[in-house]
Amino acid sequence: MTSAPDPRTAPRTRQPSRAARWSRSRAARWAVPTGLAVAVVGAGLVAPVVAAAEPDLPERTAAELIDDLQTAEVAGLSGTLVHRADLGLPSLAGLTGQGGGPGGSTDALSLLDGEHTLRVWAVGPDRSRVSLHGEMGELTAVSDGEDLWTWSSDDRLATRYLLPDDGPGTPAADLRARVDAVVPPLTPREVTDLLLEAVGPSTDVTVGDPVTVAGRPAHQLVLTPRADGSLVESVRIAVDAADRVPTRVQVFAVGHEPPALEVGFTSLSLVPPDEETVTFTPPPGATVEEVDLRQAAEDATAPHGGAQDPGAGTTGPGDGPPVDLVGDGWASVLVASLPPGALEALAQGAAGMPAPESEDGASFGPRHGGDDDADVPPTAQVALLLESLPAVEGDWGTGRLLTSRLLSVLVADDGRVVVGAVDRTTLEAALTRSASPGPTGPTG
Amino acid sequence: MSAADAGLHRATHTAPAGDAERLGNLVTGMAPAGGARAVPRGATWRLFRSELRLIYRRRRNLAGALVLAAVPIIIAVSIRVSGSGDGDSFLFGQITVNGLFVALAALFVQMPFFLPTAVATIAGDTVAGEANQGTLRYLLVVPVERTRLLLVKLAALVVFAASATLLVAGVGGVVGVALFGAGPLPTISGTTLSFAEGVGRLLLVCGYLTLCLVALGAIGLFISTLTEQPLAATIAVLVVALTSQILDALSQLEPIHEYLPTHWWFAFVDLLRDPVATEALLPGVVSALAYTAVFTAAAWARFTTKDISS
Repeated sequence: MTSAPDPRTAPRTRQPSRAARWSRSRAARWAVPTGLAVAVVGAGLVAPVVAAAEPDLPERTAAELIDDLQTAEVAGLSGTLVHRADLGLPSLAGLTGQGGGPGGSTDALSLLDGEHTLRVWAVGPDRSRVSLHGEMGELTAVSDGEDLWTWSSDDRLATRYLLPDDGPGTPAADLRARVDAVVPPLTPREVTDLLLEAVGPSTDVTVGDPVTVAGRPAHQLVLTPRADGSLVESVRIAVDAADRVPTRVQVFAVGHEPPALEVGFTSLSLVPPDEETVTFTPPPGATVEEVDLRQAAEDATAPHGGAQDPGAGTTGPGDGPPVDLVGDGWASVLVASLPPGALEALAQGAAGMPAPESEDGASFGPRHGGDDDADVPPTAQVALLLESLPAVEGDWGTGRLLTSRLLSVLVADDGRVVVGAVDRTTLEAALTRSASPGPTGPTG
Repeated sequence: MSAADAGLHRATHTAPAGDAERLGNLVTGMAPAGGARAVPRGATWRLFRSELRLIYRRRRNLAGALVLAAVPIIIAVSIRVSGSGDGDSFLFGQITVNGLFVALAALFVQMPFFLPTAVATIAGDTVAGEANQGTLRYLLVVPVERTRLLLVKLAALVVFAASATLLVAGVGGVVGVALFGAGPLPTISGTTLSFAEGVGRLLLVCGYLTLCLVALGAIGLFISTLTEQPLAATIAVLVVALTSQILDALSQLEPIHEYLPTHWWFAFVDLLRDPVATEALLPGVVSALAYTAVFTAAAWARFTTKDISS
């Protein structure tokens, strides 16, 4: 090892090698920020891969997993969910709040597209809080065991739904349906319950590779529809290995590799949260509304009594538009008829409206979009959306078709609407089979 | 030319009071020690103080501070006069309920442009400004070790970023409470915090935004070592901040969004949820620290290897 010459005494002839050292040290110095940058980006890329590593779990049969899901009891939980929708919907600008920019509004429809964060807390079976995070807002539903509260931070609106007592006269299922009407199935638990109901002879149930969800090892249950025409390729349910609760549900569409719909925990704790989190007190400055569902429930359970009241605005089973379920299992199709004249009314509402602006971020809902001067009423938005859809025709007539990876909707010009997680052929077949409601006039 | 001449030179160019005194201090503090390695303790502190004096005594910077402070006042007065913030986002809508929201709304409004501009001005000036004034080589002659000089500049940037956010929050808070009163603070989640907790959350917001701005400042520090034109450096920093925000708004570029320096800025809103949601705040903090580290290191690599000729 040679000692480095003292720079002060080094002769001038050492200059070239000093320059070489200089450039070496320059390279060494630049290696620091470069190395840091590579390390940061690398960690960002590697961390998710490590976190999602396949865990080593003892084997479990599909039947055992279904049994786990149906019998697991949790005293409470709190966690964060990520909801991802990649439905391949046509541009719904104006219908869904654009989640991208700050100020994007928060509503349940925005879940149809993109990635959203939800937080959930639950204490026991009937008390919970679910919050849908928007960029600048939050939509919260709190079920405190007695009433259901919803909170929309965009409108500073707290709504209290007075729920019927779960007494002998009121079927629990009916109550549940009413709560679901306000809060769509969001958590893996709710989605799983729905799916397990659908498991029947039309479904292959198998066990997939174990996965890590929210840092917890989980088994995977794979449901594969056997039905022809179904848009669903498979559904994967992650079942927590330790606590047997569903931690993630992924729905895969035919011919599309990434999940079309996914809801899963990114963090989960099965320790019951504070009682405080599942109670709701309207904050100062909030508008408080009250919706009484008790009367409606009585009407619904009464055998065709007050449900025929023409003034009733609620959608009891008796007074909605006629709805038929055609087909069964995964390929079932919902056939409904719009009230006569509804399409014409929509078309009139749209007349004179400007074409939808592609990026205006206005949201669909009566209470949103107040800060947007291009405030298109929702009916006109629906009409414009309808017009933007491709026109289709068949032996059933003509109409407009909305297709997505998981759901197809066909609105016939005679007012019939068919909806299903099926392809176009199946929808058209269902329309052909269902009798036309009887033309009220010559329809195009 | 001697170090004392350097002080004069700098003073004639930069005008603000205390600048001649600055190098004077440095000279008396360090010159006797003789070698670059034998700098007495306290010299760094003196350099830091003189750096702060340079920032806070500049008329240009004071004018910028007035703009920052004016925004919350304008927001508060206009909402007071018009009577309500209805129809606006949560931050604005709650102003009439609790005065602290004036501070939050002002931070929200200024985060895309005004606060980054303030930081870009200071950061662009750090090295390029000295080079442009011809004071840099004299500073180094004094002698100040380059690494130390850079770290002192970064520390001054941190202080400046914190003071800028606290200025907006402080003015907004005081004006807001004066016009709309103090009381329990409604959160985005629909819960209610006590006023003290609300102030705590506001301070957390300031801390988080300071981190974000320091990351931008570190980028500016690096750019400032590349040029001798402080204005060019400032504009470059602003271009970085604005381009990043534009790219962040393009959904087609979604895969790179989380790597953009401005992507996590508005996660500060999550501090107003109850309980605080950390899903975006934590990556935001990590991102800000990573940007600060990488670009400070890059500035160091550049500054310690570059030929200083002015």
